[in-house]
Amino acid sequence: MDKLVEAKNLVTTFPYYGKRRLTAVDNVSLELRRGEIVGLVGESGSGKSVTSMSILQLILPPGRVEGEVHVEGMKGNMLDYGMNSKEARSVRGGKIGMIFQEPMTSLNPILTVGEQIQENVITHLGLGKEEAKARAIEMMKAVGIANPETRYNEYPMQFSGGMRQRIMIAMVLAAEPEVLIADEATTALDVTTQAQILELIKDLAVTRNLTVVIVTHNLGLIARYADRIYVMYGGHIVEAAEKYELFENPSHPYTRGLLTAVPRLNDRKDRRLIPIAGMPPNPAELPPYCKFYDRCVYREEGCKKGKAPMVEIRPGHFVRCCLSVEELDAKRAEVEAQAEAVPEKHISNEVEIEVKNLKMYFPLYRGLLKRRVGDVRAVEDVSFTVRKGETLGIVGESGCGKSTLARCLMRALEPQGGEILFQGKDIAHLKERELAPIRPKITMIFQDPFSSLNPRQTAGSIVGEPLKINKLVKNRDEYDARVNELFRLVGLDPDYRSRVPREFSGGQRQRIGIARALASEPEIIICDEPVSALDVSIQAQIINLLEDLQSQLGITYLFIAHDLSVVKHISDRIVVMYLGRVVESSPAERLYENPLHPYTKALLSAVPISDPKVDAGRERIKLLGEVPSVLDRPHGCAFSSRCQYATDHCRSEVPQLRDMGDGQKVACFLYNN
Amino acid sequence: MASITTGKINSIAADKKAATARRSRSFRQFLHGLFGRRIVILGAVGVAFFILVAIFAPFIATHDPSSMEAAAKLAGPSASHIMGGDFYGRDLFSRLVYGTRVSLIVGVLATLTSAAIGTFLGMLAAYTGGVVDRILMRACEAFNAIPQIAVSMTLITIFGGGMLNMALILCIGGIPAFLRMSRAQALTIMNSDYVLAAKLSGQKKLIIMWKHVFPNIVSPIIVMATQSVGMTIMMESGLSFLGVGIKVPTPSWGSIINEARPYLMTSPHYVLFPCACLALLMISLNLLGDGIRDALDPSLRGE
Amino acid sequence: MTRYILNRIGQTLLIIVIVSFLTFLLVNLMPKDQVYALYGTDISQEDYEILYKRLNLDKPILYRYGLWARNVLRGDWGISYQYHMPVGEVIGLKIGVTLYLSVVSTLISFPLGMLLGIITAVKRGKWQDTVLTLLANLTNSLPAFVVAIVMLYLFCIKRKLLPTSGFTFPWDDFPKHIRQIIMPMFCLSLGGIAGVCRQTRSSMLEAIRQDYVRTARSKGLQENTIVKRHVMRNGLVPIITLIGGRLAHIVGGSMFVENVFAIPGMGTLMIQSVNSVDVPIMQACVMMTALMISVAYLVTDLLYLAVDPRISLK
Repeated sequence: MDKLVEAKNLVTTFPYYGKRRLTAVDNVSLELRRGEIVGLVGESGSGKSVTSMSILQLILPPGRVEGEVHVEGMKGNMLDYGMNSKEARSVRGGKIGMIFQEPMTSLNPILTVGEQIQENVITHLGLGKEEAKARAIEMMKAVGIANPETRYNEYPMQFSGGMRQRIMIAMVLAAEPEVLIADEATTALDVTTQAQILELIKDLAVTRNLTVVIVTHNLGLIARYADRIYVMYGGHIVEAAEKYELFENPSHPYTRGLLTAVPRLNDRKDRRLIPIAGMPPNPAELPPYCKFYDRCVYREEGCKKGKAPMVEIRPGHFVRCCLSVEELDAKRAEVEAQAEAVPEKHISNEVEIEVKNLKMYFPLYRGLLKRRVGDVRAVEDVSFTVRKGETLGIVGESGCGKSTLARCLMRALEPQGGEILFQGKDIAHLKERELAPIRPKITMIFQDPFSSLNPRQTAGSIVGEPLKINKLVKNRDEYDARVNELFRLVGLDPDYRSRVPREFSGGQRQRIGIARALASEPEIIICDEPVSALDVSIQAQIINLLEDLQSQLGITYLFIAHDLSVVKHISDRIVVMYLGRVVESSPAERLYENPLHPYTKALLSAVPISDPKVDAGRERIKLLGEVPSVLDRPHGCAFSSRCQYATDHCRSEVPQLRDMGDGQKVACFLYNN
Repeated sequence: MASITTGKINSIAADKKAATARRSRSFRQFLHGLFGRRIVILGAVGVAFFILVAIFAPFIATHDPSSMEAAAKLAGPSASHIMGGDFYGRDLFSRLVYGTRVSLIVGVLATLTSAAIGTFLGMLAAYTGGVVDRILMRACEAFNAIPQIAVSMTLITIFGGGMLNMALILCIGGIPAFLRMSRAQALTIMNSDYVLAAKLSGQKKLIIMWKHVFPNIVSPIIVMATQSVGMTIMMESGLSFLGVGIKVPTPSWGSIINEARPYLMTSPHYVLFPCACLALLMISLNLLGDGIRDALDPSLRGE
Repeated sequence: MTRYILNRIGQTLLIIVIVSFLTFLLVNLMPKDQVYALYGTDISQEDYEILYKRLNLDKPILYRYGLWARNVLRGDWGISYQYHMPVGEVIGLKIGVTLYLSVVSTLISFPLGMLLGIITAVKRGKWQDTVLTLLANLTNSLPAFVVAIVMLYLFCIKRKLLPTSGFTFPWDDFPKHIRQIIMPMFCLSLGGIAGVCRQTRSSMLEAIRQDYVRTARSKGLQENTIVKRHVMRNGLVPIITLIGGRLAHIVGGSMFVENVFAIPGMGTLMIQSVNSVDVPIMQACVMMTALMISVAYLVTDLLYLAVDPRISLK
């Protein structure tokens, strides 16, 4: 295989407080071969994005890139030409194209998408305006945009997130590049849209003999799509290997740690995640020795002596570790034996909360006089029950109404119709005053650990606030004791009480949020995407904490998330929602083994499993189109517009949930006989 | 359960170090941001100088600012009158020294009151919404459509132009800006998750406004206030200059300049010294204000 | 779109109505007896009573506001106390001068300020940026009348290069116009240029930070093209929204400049009317400036609508 691009000893630094410089990318060497898909995986702060931007010379001064980048067909080191040289520019965008994470902000809002694609064609292929336009339209067609001729003249804000990412791909491909770098390109998208975009990229890679670099934090994605993988940590590449080799023989302690820290769809019920201790690396505070030392469970005193060398342990399999493979493998059994058992759950038969035909509509106003022209039916006819001590997972893509549902259950919103029976009492329409005794019993954990804590309040006061409001403590001493207890319960040092949120890391802030939710001794905690803003190694810490707390305190969880692997891992039963309705409800295990609803099947198949052997054997279902807006929900079954089995019956009548035995319920006419 | 605690101990130790580092860093960051650039230090020194002059005016002034000396009438700078004398033979330097007091007191007083009232009304608008909100917003827009100077002039004619009146009248002109800003900020914060969390744990709405919303809009208010002091001083001296502000014999820089205008040809120092004072104070205030803004909100600096 | 425009026009009218009421209210609080002001102080008690009734001063304020508003809509602003002439005639002579000064000053300060702002943003960190930003920071904070007096001293009194006062329209005597207007225009526009320059710089730097600029760079475009197509257009659009506010500033500032350079505009008239408590003139002056500024805000918004596709798509 010929090398298309080769980077040698890349070092990227940025100024940091006066004269110091922090090293974001440290001595990274990698190569890209024609036609392969390379995965670059790492957590935030690992330097994966900076690496790809360094190769393209997109690092602006005062940032500095040193080292060598060799590109096929170009003499010498590309970095020597300077970032604004003709040579560098012909590589950037011409030979190597890049798409970025934020589809909402990566396109210029005041130019039409057509102009932006055309611009790239004119720059690199030297075509005239009309020819460039023809090519742009052709590319829009190639990435699956309907009516490209009319859409050519539209502005980015007229496209959905997934469609904008397609525009980005069309734009990059229009210049006939040989390498495509996708920097977290699908992270902000819904699961099924993400699968569509990645399948598109994969198809294009095959048909156009394109080299693709997938930069991501998601191990599952690279397990499914990459051929060769680089694992990054603290600015270093710590491990590099072919996909199957890497997943079969992960050798670096960090790679091993990652694999045991992430939940997988095919997990057994009793699998306990093994988190990586500590926090993701801060490039400003890395030690001069092995970057992973502080968090490593394999570490030995000797590791501190110098930088770890990159060693080829098997042909094509490189590891940067001070310990030898033998030492690592010998210790592996010992490390993995320490894995904890899943704490015991106590699920009673008592129903804790029962939701019956819940409806939440938001009025839609239009015009000068703000007339009410209709409703946004965010939650429509939702029913389910949760037993005491169990975890009910609620999954669905954006617009499915899961967050609105959570806010109804919390009674932050008053539903239009239906009942919410909490311990047998309907709380759906209680007045604020009548809710007062209920409030402490149902609490919430929020998604964003940054915006859910008042930046001006101390951690102690945040956690203690519910105690004071609900008068759960008699005096100052009792208050202090209880706050300290809550801190310890979530694994925080009570000495931190006087600190403000800014002084905590993301994972720690989420712990504060959990402590606040626990303060009033709730019966139910509604967890709204509690781990989706966290790095994978931190996710495991929080998931384990939630499991421990449930076992210890017997709390009931409503766990709302879009990440199916996480929901499946933590939940006992799962409710799948689509455009405001429940389409399927099932025990967690059954849902993976035997999904019934076509949407559930598609959703499951869109989630890759971070084990390429297992993943390769799974059925892939390609969904048509994107999730429509709740405003134009199809008549009849909401999923009928995208379902391959849809009949006229589905398009005219709404299917009701039917009991299919084994605790499974599905709302689909396929199972009506 | 043992597992949670043991698992956390090592990470706690590491976290502690990191948190301490983070705290001292954020303070360093503020100081670095504020005084990192020499130009801001210059502004701070200038402002400090004028404040000291205002405080110690009786000790700095060489003469009584209102005692007249026939010999000093329109005299140029000399050993006994370092900046010369004015039309009535009063010592210009002493008058300027006392004028510092007028400028600073009016500027600070007006800003403080307008910040307080504006913030209160802004939060009220955000809190109540509906009719109150709409009335306040329309009133702000109406205010925006008239130059502040015209409003102030009218009000001064009605109520008269003493130092206190002046401060109160200039305060009215400053209210709409604070109102709009604090309303917008409060609305953003009222939509945040931590306010929702407080609401869900049963906290009363008024306490939420006080405990969660107010502390988080303080820093943009401070930024606006530092810039508003300069604007107010400019407005005060401007009105005094037009003869509708602080009336002689109170030594306000603006009225001194106004008084001196006819003698621009014959004794230019009489006009130019107060002009220089005003320019220096304005520039210092502006430099310091920009510095504070950049340090409190580095995203605005754009470097 | 049409709806938005209609909405916006309605809003402007509403504001004008509110302003007119507030001015009427304020001005009627003035410590000035309207009867004496109009007819002199040497009238008998009986005549006073009759005139008091004729002026409707015994009626409630809302009623009087209604009368006044009706008259204003017919073009009757009342009689000036000072000139004993219809207000419309007095103001008509002056408003053109102020309008001319303000509009020309806006037309100067926006393009120039934007140009300087673009230079500082593109050359950020270089000496051009340092010098221009420093100058902008210094001049932004200088009161217009201080600048005016110092200029008057430097160019008229010391060197006698330019006339100290007066105003002539360009169509009457162009060379004289230019000589007379150089200094006032400089004083009036200096703050505007500096302010627009600062705001353009920060808006441009904001645009430079955006993701789509990174995208443009990743396409291998030339730095010039990136600045022109992607940074400038996005960075300059928000500047348009500042026109209304700037004009308000300039109209306020013209009061000082007119005063120092003895230009017979609305600013001078306003100061006179305040000093002699000429209520009808004050009302008219405030209303006219409010009208000018509101129209400027309206035009600004419509301009914005034309430039930014995001607004019209919403």
